[in-house]
Amino acid sequence: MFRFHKIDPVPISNRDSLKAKNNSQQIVALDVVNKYVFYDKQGIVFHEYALPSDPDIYNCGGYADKVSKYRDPLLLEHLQIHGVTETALSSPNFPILSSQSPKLDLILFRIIKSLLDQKRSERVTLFDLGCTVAEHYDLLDVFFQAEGGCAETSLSYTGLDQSSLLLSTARLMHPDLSPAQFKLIKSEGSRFEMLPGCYDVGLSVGVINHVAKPHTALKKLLTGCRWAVVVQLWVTKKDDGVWHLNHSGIPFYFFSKKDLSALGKEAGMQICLGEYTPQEENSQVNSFLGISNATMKTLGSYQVVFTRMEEFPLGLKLLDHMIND
Amino acid sequence: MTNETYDISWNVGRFAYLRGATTPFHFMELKENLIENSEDIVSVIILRAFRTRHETNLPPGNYFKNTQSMSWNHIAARDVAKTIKSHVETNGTYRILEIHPGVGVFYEALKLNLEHASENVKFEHIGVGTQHYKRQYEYMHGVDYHGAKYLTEEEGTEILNDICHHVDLVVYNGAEANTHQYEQLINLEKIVSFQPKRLLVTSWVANHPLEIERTTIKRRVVQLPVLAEVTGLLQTLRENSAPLGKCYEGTLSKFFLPEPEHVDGRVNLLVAYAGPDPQFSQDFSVLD
Repeated sequence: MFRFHKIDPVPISNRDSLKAKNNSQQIVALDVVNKYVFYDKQGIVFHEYALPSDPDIYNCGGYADKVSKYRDPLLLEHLQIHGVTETALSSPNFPILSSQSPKLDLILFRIIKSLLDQKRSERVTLFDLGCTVAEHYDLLDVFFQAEGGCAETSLSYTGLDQSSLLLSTARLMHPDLSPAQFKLIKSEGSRFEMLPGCYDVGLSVGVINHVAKPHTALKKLLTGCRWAVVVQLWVTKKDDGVWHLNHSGIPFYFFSKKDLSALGKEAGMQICLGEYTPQEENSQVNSFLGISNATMKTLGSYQVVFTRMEEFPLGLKLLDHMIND
Repeated sequence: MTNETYDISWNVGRFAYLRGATTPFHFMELKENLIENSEDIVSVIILRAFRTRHETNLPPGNYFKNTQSMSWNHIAARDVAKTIKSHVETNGTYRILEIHPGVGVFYEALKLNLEHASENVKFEHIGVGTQHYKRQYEYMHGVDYHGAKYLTEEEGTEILNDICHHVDLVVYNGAEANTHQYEQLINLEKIVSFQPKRLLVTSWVANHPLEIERTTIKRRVVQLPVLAEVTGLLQTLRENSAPLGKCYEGTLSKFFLPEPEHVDGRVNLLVAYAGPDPQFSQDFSVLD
């Protein structure tokens, strides 16, 4: 008979032991293994069970699970009764709605509706950078349905991802949508081509920070989207942006206020900020390799909207309010 | 045998090692509910891509080579497909009841194995299992051409007997059930008591009769049958004639924690079939 205790096998240290100076410098060779590990009373490994190492498998499973919950008829009914609002998203009956991603979808939904109401577009063109299984399309569809419409008639969706598995899932799980309405592109997240102003709105949740060239990716998105770009960006409170390594050893760039200000100015867009989530409160607090608790306190993520629209999305503040050291 | 309690600390996630080192440098926990179904969801996607000849760059070997934990669904689907193929060919609609289907990997694998048997064949699948898989099963199979419906065990209890008599094949996916994090209500005895016409069973079986209590990596204590127990049960379905099947030795033994007091410790995978079809898979033999 076993009595189990869950432990953190490698607690976060008190000092910074790894730092990437830029996105191309190979500073450390890592072996990354996914597994269950069981230790005996002496701390010696008693049993291990290896899990697949390909992160795409977990991304696919996690996002597909999310969509399965978005497509719950009870969730649609909930939104029909309570409206597509922040309050409805915070219902304890639907915890899937309370994370950052649905909140960004709500901001995006309001922007899309505003464009449709103002007849700036008959069908809003949306570019989703790092689309995974197109879960944002699904939640936007539920939002539209809750208000009597549907994404199929309101949106022209283009999703970009570098994973064949995730893109195949996106296509197979939306078999009835025509390629004109639901287009998928396979590409690394900063190596895509986009003509200026060819989309109405853009979206990217937690992806721009770890593409090969984060500044390039964001610039392309800001140039390619006519009205607004909604992103979840990881930021530093320091004056200058900083590179760290994520859990897979991939360089990850934290934007600074200065970075964002410069990017917005160059694109001729205003920048608004939504919720800030300190990294310490993130659901995956151990996402970055070799950083100390002190460094952790300087990191977090913001909902950011770059916009050329006259009116600000509800509840957002200007970039001036960004937290700095 | 003693009843000693062993204190075990554990976690699951991504361990990063500096190359060549044996002590991990970093750890990021993976949520167990994510692990629970991710491999299965990917398995359904890959099988669906094969079935629908979806144009893809997917290298399936990349996703299947490490995923031994779901292989019983592929093995069972392949084995039973050969057995029921002639029956499927004569049927316009083939109805399947599967107990504990998870997200429906077995069903997807069976579709892949049998769709070519007849162009006009249409499957209708009823999955009965715990609430935890309902949404994912419905999402994965709801967009497919073939029929799929998921009943929770509570919803299915009253009508299970009736369904067992109206479907072409009943599947008791016991191997799948034991890998789930949560306990199930419906067991094999109950399904056998309904006397289905064709019954396919997957089950982990203990190699030693005194080593039936095992703990999975998900810290769930399960009682595994021994081979004779399952074959004995299935014999009651076919007028005491022995069921057909195959025992795959040692498959997935690591899914179960080693028991310090067990001498043998091996766990085997059993795929067994009891039904009237004269033509059966060459992989199957009489289990007696």
